[in-house]
Amino acid sequence: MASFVVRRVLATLAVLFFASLIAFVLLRAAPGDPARKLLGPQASEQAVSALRADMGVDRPLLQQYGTYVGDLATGDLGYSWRTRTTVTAELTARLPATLELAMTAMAIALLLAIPIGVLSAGRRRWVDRFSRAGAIVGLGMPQFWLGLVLILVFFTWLGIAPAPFGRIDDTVAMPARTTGLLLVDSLIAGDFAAFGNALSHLVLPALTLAIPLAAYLSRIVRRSTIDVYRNDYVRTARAKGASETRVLFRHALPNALLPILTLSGMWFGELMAGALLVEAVFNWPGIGGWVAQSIQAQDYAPVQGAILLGALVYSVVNLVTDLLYGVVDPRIRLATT
Amino acid sequence: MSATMREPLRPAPGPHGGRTAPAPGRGRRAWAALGAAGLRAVAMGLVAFLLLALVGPLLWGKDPLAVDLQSALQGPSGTHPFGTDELGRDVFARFLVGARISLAVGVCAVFCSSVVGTLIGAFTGLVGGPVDAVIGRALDGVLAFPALIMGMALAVAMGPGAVSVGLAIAVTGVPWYARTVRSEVLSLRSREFIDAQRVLGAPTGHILIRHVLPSVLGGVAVQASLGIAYAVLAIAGLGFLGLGIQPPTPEWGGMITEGRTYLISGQWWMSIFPGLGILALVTLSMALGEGLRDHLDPHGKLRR
Repeated sequence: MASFVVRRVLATLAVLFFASLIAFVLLRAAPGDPARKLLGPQASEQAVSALRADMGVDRPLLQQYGTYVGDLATGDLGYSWRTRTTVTAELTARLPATLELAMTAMAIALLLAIPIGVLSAGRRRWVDRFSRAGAIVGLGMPQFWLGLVLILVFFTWLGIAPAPFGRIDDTVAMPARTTGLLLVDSLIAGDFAAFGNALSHLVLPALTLAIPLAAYLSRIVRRSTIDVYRNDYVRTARAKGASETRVLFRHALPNALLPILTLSGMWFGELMAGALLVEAVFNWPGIGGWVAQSIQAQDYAPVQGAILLGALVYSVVNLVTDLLYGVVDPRIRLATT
Repeated sequence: MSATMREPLRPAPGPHGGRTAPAPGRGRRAWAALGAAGLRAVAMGLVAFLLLALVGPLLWGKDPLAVDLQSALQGPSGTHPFGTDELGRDVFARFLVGARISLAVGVCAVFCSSVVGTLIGAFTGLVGGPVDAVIGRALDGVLAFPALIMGMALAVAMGPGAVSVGLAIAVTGVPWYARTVRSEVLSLRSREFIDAQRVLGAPTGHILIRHVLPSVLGGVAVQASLGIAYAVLAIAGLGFLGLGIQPPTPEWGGMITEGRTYLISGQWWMSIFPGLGILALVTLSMALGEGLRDHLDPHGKLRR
């Protein structure tokens, strides 16, 4: 087991190394001069070259990469020259907004996908036809467009959703920050007005993120439920007189949900990428908008930080699933070489 | 239970499936034919899209870039079936050119990444060992980047445009093809007909081209049609962020952005129609991929 863990961790570190390399090379290959971009066309040549020296972009690439990796090793993600803050500070300030959105979306997606998937695996074929059609449409829609459609229907036409700007109305006082998650903070503070307001702002973006994910996951749940029901242990359970409910909840569902776990790395990555667009649609003050602006300003550090964060989340989620699988299933930890 | 669950995508005739034919054997054939007909319908839909993109702009005849401030922000009507945008440009003409752009960039990108990915996958699958392990990790590193993020980075590196968008989609697509092909090659490597070729003294290149490639092409075709769907979505996503194909070129994602502020105040046609176009194209490509998968592999062997 120990060697299995070491192998998986080493593989993850290798992936992270490649990801950091890709991020670094891509951004440094940009033709523009970041110092010039920051100071504008009016700035003097001296000021620009002074800033270049300050930023360290005048040194050889290899040396820059060395500094960058060295800083990373000590947990320093760099300094944003555009906003004059450290990337770590900016990330901690903005991460809760993205996390709150992503987690709510995840919960909604699972709540939709599991019952729909299980139901459409059943006998009633119209349920499957319906959910299949729904899944195709859900997956085929561009996410940001779905967000706009929801805004059109629920804000412009029906008028029951708040205007798509941010996490909470300006007129409502923000609850004291403990976790940064507005729903949690307002509950801790007992501020139900803020809770309701934050919730109403959260519903549409979270739904926008959740619907395509639910479409995808429902098909996976359906597929694996069908596979699981073919197993002998299900037949045995039935033969022993277990009720259908017991067969479903006790024997079938726990196994049928495993593929969701296996694929979680992949769909969590999709969720984060989707958040980037959905945040732009709803003017959500999370990581997405900040990254988009930093890219346009050629502000290296935040972009590298965000790319690395994404790669880190992706790899760690994959690592954890691999390890969990190794714990659950000895064949996996013994078979990999 | 098992009767309905054996082949879920093309269900065995039950009380509903038997509707078209009385005997179960004929019912099954009817279902199979229906499945094939579904695939044909999807293929025809895609061909129609292709035609629309190729000759549509010529037939419609309106200039997608012609500004006419007099008739700005008009709703759908006889002269402008999709309405006009804030500069009075005909949204339908822009929509047609947008189809052309999405298809051209998407197909080129998918073609490049499937060729490169197939070669890498076949190579690593055949060679194995440390080379396979290193390339595998590097591909995992690429896989950690969604096409959107790669597209953003490339838009900065090269300046946003069709090339940066296409390259991002092509690069992020490579690992998917490589993985598919590699696992297929690994399972082929131990099969008798390959062994037989080895024993006969056939060179590796010959085995690869004559015996391995034909077997993996089905999987690549499935992956490629799904790839087109993801490509169309990524092109639109980058366009929406302003990091894709730049205006005034009518690109669907960019058109949705331009219409965004007007949508909030109720002028919905500028954003909604391009979105429907994306939805249709993506859905058709996905259906083609799934249909091909069923067709090539009716018993789900690929899911090994």
